[in-house]
Amino acid sequence: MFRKAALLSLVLIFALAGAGCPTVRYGRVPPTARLEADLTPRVSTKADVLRVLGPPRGYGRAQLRAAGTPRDTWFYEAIVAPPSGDVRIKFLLVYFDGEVFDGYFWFSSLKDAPPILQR
Amino acid sequence: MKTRFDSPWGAVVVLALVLGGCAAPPRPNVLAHLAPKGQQPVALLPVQAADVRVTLAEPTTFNEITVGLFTKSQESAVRTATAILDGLGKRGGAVTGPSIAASALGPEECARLVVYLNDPGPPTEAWKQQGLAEIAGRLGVTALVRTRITVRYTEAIGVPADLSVGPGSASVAATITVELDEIDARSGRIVGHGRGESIYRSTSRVAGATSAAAATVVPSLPVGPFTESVMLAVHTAWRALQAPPVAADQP
Repeated sequence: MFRKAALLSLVLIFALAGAGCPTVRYGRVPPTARLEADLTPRVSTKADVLRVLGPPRGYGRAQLRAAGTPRDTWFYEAIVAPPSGDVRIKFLLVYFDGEVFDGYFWFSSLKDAPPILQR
Repeated sequence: MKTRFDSPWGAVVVLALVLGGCAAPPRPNVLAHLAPKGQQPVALLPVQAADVRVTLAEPTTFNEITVGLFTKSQESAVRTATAILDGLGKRGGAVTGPSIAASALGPEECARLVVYLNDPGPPTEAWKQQGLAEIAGRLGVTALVRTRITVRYTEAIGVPADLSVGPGSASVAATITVELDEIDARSGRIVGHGRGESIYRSTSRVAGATSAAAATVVPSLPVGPFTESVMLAVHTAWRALQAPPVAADQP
């Protein structure tokens, strides 16, 4: 009887501890599948990217080659941080030439990422 | 014999007197001196978290400043600036306040507005001009005023994570800068600018504020030294925006 009560208490303690440390999520997972489905490099515009991907979480300018000119860049990210510390992230950088969509770069360690990116 | 109160008109008179006595006294309009620029209809755009930047003067020396302090500052600055600017809109006339603008636009349009205003490209980009023109059209105005707030902490000593400090246990100081940009809705260009600055200083949540800020009446807004400093900076920026431009050839 005492063992059962102790076991039940332990289970309750762990359950409450788990409830007290929820998984922290922020950002919105960028829908990278739509990059090639709904956007065309050198044709689509910033308005199209905004419509397809939604508002970015950050902005900036990036110069990828020494000979080129800085590109306007939009930044998308999503982070999932469970109490276990297994933090996973997905980010996407979208590059523009003026207001024209000029390319992108993304990385993901989320669970739905391609196998080569899984830890 | 018929008494005076047997008549329904007597009851109406008594009711009117009672209701008149219960009505709140007229609130002094402390913003009356701030007239809108010209008479063109202008909308004060919603003040959003993205419009508030919280920074440190010297990041390496302030290791006790917490994320909580930053978040609190951001929320408080948004709330206070919105309340002050709403006061301008409530006077009627040509100014639409940020809360009314936010209601008219809705959350999705407000999110797009953040992109139009923060994209690093020039304001002359066609997609941006079109987006801002659509927003102006929906609000029925020809000019938009964007608010930018910077809270730059210059001192933060002994600030615990939960901000529940005891007397004399914490000292915080910040420079609060408010900038108002008037944007021509057709061209997307900035055609007017106003800047206001105030100093926020708090020791154990007790701080002095300037008398100009303290004289401001904002209903339903808890006023503290931080909010008073934001209010002062917003007022200063608005007055600067209203001031006629100084000609370049003037001495």
